[in-house]
Amino acid sequence: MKTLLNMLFAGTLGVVAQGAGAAPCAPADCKALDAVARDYIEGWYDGNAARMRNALSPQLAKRNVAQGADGARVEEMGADGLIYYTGKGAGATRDPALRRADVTVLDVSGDMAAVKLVAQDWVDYLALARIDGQWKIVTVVWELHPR
Amino acid sequence: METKVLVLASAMLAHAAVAAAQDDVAAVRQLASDYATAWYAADTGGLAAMVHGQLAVRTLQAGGRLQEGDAASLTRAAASGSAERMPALDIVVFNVYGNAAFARVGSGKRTDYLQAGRINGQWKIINILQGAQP
Repeated sequence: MKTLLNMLFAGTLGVVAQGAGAAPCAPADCKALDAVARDYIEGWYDGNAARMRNALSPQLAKRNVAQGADGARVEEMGADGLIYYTGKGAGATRDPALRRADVTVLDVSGDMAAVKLVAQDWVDYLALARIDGQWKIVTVVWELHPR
Repeated sequence: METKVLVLASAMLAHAAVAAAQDDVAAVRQLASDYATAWYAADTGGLAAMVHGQLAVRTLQAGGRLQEGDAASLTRAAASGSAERMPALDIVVFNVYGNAAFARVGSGKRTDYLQAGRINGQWKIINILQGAQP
């Protein structure tokens, strides 16, 4: 019975989280996209501003929907802010149990790509562009895990 | 008896979660479809209704330059183009998680990656990365 309940619960979470399958992509692209996503999230966990800077387009638009007392609003951060807070160690942790970083390449269309990153406390959707041969994160929308 | 109630409650919860997730995916798919339809119809009013006021648009141009835009520039661009016959659309909703969603509209000529947020119950496009298809 416990197994049945666990299966039902797991099934519920799976549907809510909408797990998307990885897209087929050229191995070199997949490897490069995975590396950029890891520069971004491991840079955050390491407090390594240089790694974060390497992952981002200077024209980054990173947004999330925040619930306030007077309704929902869109909060935003650009590349400079994200690099600054990374360097300040805002997300730094060495605890392996708090450094979740599940990267899935969702799509590649020429010089653009879509990547999903499940981090410790949130999910990031990353849209990337290949600029001068380097993949860079251009737009992000993110959402905290439910508590 | 208690076990049966727990199983029934879990099944009902699972069913409700499935239905809600399907509703969200359908809503985001509709948003993506409406966005493309409005673009090709040069329907600036329709387009403005689908995007958030803080929309960020990044257009990848030939040569690898990123052009920045916003809600106003998007609607101006739609208005300046004449209405076109809408190509066959390939719409994929990659993922929905809470109040965030990620989708792609492919139209043969170009790809638009749409990042959307649910704001006061309504899905709005808040980020776009677009560029020519290979």
